[in-house]
Amino acid sequence: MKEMVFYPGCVIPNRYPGVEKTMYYAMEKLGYIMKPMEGYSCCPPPGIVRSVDEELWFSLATRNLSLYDDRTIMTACNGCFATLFDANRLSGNGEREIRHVVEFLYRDVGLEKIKARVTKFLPLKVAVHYGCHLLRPSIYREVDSPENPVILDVLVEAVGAESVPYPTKMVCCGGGGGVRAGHREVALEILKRKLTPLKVLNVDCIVVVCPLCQHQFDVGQVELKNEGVNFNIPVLHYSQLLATAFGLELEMLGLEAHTTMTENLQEKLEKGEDLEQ
Amino acid sequence: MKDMLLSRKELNKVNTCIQCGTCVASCYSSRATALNTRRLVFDYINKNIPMHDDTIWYCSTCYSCQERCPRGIMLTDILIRVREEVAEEHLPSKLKKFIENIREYGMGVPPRKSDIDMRRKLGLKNYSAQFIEKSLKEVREIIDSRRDKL
Repeated sequence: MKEMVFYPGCVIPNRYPGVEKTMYYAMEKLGYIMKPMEGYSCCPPPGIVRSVDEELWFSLATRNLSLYDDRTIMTACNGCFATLFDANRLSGNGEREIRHVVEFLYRDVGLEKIKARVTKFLPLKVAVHYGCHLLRPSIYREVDSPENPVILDVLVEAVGAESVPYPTKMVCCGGGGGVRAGHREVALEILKRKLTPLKVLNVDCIVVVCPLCQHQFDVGQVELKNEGVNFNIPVLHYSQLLATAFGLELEMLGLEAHTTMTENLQEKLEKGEDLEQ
Repeated sequence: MKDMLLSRKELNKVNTCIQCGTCVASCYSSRATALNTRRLVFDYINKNIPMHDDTIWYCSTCYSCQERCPRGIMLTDILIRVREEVAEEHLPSKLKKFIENIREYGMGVPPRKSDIDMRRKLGLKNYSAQFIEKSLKEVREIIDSRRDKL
């Protein structure tokens, strides 16, 4: 078992605790012990805190980085990943690495090892959403193509799902940069444009790798519904999908926290595609 | 730190902007709002940033413009830097509240009772600075040391 530290941020523990649960579960199944980062604070996000005071952003971020001596700090949020990655780069600590679970799974764990651990393949039709700060700015991130990435698509396929192409795949969710927090109407207008092409594709869910995107898609759809625009497409974090494929029961995914959910998705997650057949 | 985040050399590249508009064409926010990055760069070069223009806060910092800029200008990072100047005079109140939340709870997005209940059901411990007095004190000290900016 390899050890690392898990930095969960704000939105995962306080809006989608199921993502935190599934992160610990799935990583342990793959042979990694993640220690919770005790005493951590908000990362803090570049779009809000760095936009107001760069020194404050840097000081809070480096405090989080200094809490543990481990080589690897794992994240499951694009915003936390961006802040900790950049602050670590600027603080010049070459020993420490900041990782995002998706690129770690693809690059360090590998598809074969993931497939070998799957006990329930999930025959879902999904729309993947990479989010912005996992891939960009690409000169620093070096995760995948900033315009035409593949890592999340193949990770989704590794658990038996189909990733469907859609025209707004690389469009921002509209929630980042303080837009959702500061100007909700703008965030919802971007969201509406993002989701419109999905209407005719009949996907079972959207798969994200960032809880801020997840929150914007999940709660944003309820807000759009109140304005008469209905999509009703549930949103899962990849860790929730992975943990289900590894055998975690549905009650432990924290789906009650999701405001947009369908019986169709829950049924498919429950049943999967039985391996014995 | 500031120079490392955006070096003087990178910052000065802004003067090579040819006003081609690739940034606006790549901007998802500009399709829904009046945000105009090309115009913002022009104003920045001319040291004429409109301090009470809300459109700068409509950028979701997706970095599409920066990736595609044919001059390689760090557009999003420059926009964030300009926001810092604008914020001194005019900071949207909801963003201020976010920073107040970090001071109060150590979290920009603090938990509600339903979140705490669900964490218990899932067997998750509460281990953020909010629940550790010494850690919360450290966070507050950092924020209070920057009080003049906030």
